[in-house]
Amino acid sequence: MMDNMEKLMKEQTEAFVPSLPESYSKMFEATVSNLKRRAADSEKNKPARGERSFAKPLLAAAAALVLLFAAAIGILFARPALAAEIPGVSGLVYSVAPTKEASEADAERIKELIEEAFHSLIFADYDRAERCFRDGYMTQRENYLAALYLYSAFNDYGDFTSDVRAEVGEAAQLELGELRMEQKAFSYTVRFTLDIMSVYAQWGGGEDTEMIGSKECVVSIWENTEGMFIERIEILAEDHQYIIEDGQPLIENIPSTNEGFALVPIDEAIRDYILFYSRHYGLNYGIDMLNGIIAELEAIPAAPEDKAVRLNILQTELEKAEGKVVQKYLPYEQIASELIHRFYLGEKNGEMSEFSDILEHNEDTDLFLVEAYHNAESTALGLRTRCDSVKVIVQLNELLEETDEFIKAKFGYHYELPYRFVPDEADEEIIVMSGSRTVTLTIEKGKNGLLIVAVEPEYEKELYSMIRAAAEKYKQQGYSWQEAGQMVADELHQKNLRYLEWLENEAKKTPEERARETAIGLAGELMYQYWHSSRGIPDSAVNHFTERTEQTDLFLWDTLLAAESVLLGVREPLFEKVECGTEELVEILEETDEIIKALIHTSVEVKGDGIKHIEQDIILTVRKDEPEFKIIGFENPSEDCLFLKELEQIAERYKAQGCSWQDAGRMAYEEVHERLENLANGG
Amino acid sequence: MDQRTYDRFFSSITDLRGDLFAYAFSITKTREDAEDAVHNAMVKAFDGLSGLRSQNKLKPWLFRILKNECISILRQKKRFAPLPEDIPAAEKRDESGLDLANCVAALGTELREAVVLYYKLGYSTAEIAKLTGVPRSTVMSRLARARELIRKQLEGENYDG
Repeated sequence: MMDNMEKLMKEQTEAFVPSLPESYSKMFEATVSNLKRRAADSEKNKPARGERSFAKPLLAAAAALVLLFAAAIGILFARPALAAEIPGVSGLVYSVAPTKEASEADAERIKELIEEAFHSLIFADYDRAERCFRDGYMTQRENYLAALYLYSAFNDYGDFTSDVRAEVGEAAQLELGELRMEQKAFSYTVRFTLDIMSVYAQWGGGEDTEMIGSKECVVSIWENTEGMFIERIEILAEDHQYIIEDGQPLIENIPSTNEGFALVPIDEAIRDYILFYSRHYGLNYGIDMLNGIIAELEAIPAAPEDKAVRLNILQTELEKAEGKVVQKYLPYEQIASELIHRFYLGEKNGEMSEFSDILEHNEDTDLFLVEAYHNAESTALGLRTRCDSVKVIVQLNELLEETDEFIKAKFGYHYELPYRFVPDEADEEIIVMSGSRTVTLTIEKGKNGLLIVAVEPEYEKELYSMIRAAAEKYKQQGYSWQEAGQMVADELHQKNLRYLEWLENEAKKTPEERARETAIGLAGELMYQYWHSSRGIPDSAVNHFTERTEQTDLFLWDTLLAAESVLLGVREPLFEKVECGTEELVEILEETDEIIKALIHTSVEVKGDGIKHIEQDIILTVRKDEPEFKIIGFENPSEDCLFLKELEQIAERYKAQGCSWQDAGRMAYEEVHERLENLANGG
Repeated sequence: MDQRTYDRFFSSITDLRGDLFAYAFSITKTREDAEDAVHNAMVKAFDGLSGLRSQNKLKPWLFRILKNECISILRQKKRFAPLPEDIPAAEKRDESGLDLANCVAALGTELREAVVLYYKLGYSTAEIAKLTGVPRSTVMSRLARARELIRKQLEGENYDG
């Protein structure tokens, strides 16, 4: 069954590629003739066998010495790597060596070296990185910044998306484009465009490759008898200057010495970093950061003249930033700061803050108070951890409207809430939850002072958006804003009580009950991931909690084929989105301390033409290994997996011929895959 | 270098005559550049033959050299993504053919490369992975993405290729 799309693709491609022009055929024949002639000439110039020179014996002794010397030099020029570490000779070889394009063989080695080094820097594997570099690589500024950039470009990117990411180790893809490699003796200069991509699975189905960085890079490589090593990486970009040493976890991962820190000129980097944060989080935050960095710089043992230069630059930046703060807006920033501060304080203390002196309770502020109350109650009931303190910095970002009576403006604020965290048998840790948001406030300029009369937070997918949607629904049904607000508050209160009850019930469960629940709970997740793969996503999370055994092998191959059949164009995805998977225990078939085997009914909600559910019966065997349970057996009595039955029949045939289950499974997969490829090719 | 090695080289590239042109065209999008790239690649491959360890690697090695030559030519000419100007007159007469050819021409280089290798030259995904030096799953993803983009283009949706 050939997809119409496949036919269309063939037609399009045929139309795109022209038939071989006559000029090409002539060129091709001429080139082949020329090359054949060159090949024949090189054969002819080989010395004929049996030929003797009567003159050679007389000059043999002197010539031998000359040849020996020439050969040594020749070897060094032909294999300059040999000369790389010979004092005096290396310089000579380098100076007279021509600059030429690197050979294909060397190009392959260089590409492998660069990919190895960049991968190791992205994943902070500095032991591995060190093997790719010549000595002391972190003391070179460009290498240090390149390492910081590569690490943060990839790892920080994930923090700013709301999409589910695949495992970091599987999700980095590097592409080195437009490689240009020059060689001069034992030294290579490589220029290329580095594309860093993140491959991730999205909630609701689908997979995407996201370009998270595309930079021009120049890498200097040096070769000796032991191999090739990177000397220097230069990433030609501006944004990597945003990365500086300011106590972020990144710094702890890099084994830099004090010399390493001192060697990094932090003038431009600091300035750009501060500007970047100021633009996003507000000038006040930027000023705070500058003050913090000045304090840190004064504390470090760098050379006095060095510190003086940098302090001067930082002080200048600080004055410029402070000069940009608009004094007349300070009162509004203060009342906004008070509002936000009391909001988080209520959450910290588990007690609703008093707002009546700064906020009028009306339809435009009611839902803000509903959210504030809910957060405080959650803490009071023990459903949230209390933070230690509240730090908020607020700045007026944009004036929307101003009259003599009121001001309406967008405020940006940055909050920091440190939490005390004690992992099992570990020292206490402080984790700081922080973030930056915006809120639009309307502030009345009354005779007795300022009063906030409208609050409109600007962020999506948060509790406030849900509260607002629920209240709107009630208002549309005819309820007043007061009634709608109260009804939403009551719903949130009930939700808290239900959560509290669930927590109390959970606390009463025995370890055996919890283990059984965890094991059975894998079933819904497994089938969710299976149908998610069937939309064309080959790197399935099914593998994360399924061990490859004789009882799961064919199911894992089935999952891969489900994805590949879509990628090959043989099959369209059956639905647009896979929402969630649930499970219901039907019968425990076997249970020991180590394993549980159960018949489970699963239901996966999918969206295509409307919402429907895929109902299946599966038999799972789960090994109860703390902390991660593993599925070690899978059966599908309802026979509704896509390729499993076919795989089982083929694998049985191979096993009957004496193949191991591993070989039988793989060959069954390859047979089905080949059939799908033939279908895709019109066979 | 022995004669047998040369003979195998010439035999291989002659067999690949059409494939080399199609592949080069998929990257350069003009006949002249594709011809130049193939010529340069043949000469470079001949010169570098002694560095090739195994004859089995000749094909992917040759395709890599060709790709680098194409990129080199494009850089020199600073080409972006124009429509091919040398569409044969016969094809221009066929309105739907012209539209369809533009869809492939408007794809990004890597998608176009995979599409031509797969749909025109008939290489399997595993073979394309070896020729282009990327994982097989990447090849499959690129083909799926190309199909999706072309489908959207034909349905009149905008995309950025």
